[in-house]
Amino acid sequence: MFLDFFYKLRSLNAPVSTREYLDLLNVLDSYSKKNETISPERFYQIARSILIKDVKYYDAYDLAFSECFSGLVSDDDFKSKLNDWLQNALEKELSEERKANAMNLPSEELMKELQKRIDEQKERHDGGNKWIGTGGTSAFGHSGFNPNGIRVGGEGINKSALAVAGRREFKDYRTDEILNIRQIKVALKKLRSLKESGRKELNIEKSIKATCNNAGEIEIIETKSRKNNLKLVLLMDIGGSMTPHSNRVSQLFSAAHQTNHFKEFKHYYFHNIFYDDLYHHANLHPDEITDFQKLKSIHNSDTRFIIVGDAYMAPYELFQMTGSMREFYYSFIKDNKKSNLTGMDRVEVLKKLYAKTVWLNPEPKKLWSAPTIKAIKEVIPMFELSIDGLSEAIKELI
Amino acid sequence: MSELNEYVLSEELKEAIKIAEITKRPLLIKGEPGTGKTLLANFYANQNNLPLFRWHVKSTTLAKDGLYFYDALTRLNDSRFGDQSGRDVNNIKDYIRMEAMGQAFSFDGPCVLLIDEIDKADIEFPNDLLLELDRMEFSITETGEVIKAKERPIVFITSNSEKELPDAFLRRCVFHYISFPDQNMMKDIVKAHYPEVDKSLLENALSMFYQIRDINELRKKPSTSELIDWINMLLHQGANLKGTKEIPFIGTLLKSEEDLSKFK
Repeated sequence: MFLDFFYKLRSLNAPVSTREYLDLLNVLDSYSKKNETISPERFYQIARSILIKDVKYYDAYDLAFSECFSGLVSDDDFKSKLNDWLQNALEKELSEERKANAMNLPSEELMKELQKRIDEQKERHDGGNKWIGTGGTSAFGHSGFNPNGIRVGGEGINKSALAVAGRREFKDYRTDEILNIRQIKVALKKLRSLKESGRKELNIEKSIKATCNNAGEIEIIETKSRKNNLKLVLLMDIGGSMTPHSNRVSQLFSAAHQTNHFKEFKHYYFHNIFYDDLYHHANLHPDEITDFQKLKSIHNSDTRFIIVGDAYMAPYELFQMTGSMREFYYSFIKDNKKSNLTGMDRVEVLKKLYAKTVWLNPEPKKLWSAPTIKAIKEVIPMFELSIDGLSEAIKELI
Repeated sequence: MSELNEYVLSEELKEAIKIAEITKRPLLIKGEPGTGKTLLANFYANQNNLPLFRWHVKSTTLAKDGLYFYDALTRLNDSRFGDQSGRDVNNIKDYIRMEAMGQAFSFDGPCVLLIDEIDKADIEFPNDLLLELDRMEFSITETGEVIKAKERPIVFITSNSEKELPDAFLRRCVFHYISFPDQNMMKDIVKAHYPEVDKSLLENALSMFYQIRDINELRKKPSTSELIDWINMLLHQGANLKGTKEIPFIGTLLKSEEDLSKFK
């Protein structure tokens, strides 16, 4: 049952490994040696502290807990389940762990330890020695994992663990969508061009060397530290066919935003393709805009541009002027500027201004057959919006 | 320290500390700001009469900074101008200074180590500490000396979740999330700070406080430490909150202008 619980957690994407599993056994063992009773409430706390390392998985834990430890019909039922576990634990652990988690493959040492622990438990069980808790009837004696043992509203202030788990108080902390932000951030970290900048600082190593060369006469060497000089602009397509991808785009955005090692980071929004204006906010509010023509006065030519969009639109929108009704409408009511450029022209202008520009497409590569995608791909190198695609794109940018 | 007598330890947290003691793994603590993450280490050290070594992590902190510091500059100076301090220029050990983690590892006997706000540093920072936290040892490059903890110190690590911590690091920790105290727990906390507080004042203050916290649009919800300040303020000014619609001294609870404007 422990293993079921453990694998249930894994299937709910909570990253639990053998190490945590062994820790849990270790703690339960040590509690039992001290003859401390472990109520289900307590087990709930203990296992959560050891198995779960982030509040965003608390909800998965609650779900797994209530699924695994409720609905046991009788004492015998529970006992037989435990026996099964003890017999199968090792084989199961070996094969499934290996399959499920080739990366986190535990070392031989851990495996041996696991086997030892499991053997140990079996002996305890066979010998009728109580492992944990009272009574000595069941192997783990965790008096609470059968319905009779769960004291709903029992002693004093103790809450039933299942009731707590059932309430799912940590639902709001689920953040499945940010699971990959770290990966994106790590990829973005590669995006840097180091330049010496700032105030000179004492370089101890070089000073010592120079002083030695100088026969002990102190020679102070100062150097400037190297800082990332890279400026990045993110242009994001928003709305329409991009809506299904908004999650991944916002991941990329927040990762770039949180990565504070860029010298400059700016972002703009557009819809389908850039027109006269780039929007500052995702709601495409026409009052907060930057003129496309002014980009070159705002951003130096060594600025890196990452464009995120599916490059998918009606061909006339890319190849003809006044392609989009929305743009046409706003340029009409403003009546001030009208560049004579099509969307495709602007793609070319941008690439000419900023040689280091890439396009990230959230659609998988095999679907890149639309004429607009093909045309844009000719001008700006296009990559998939995935961790791998991003890494390739970054190579292109450096 | 008086403030430590006022620390209220929840049952759940007690359990987590116990587990950290048994497994000898660092206890990683997260929670809203102001829920007493940092204070916990102080409290624990104080309660068990153990020395506490603190390492406050900053954005520029490197893993090595917590271990030791080789003072090459003083050595250079001593070699040039001679020294009256009793340091031996030829002995490099005289110029090696232990930092918090190094001090804890070389301490003779049980002790407590606090690594505060680990998420402030670079994203790879926790990974650089894996070996040190696992084995509780490190070597000094300059002398080749190995510092190894005779007794594994109890390590508390706090994080404000500004950055994600790497999985390899997390696997080596015991984790506890300090959830925001409920009304009953909060009552105990306030009483621990102000035993003389009037019952009805406390009830009113708490109900107001939790009402404010229930407003989802707030940029920063007031936390325990703000409540304590606020109640202190109310006690000082002799306010009783009876029948008042306006919240007095709301500036102690809400710190951002945007939030304040919602109450005007």
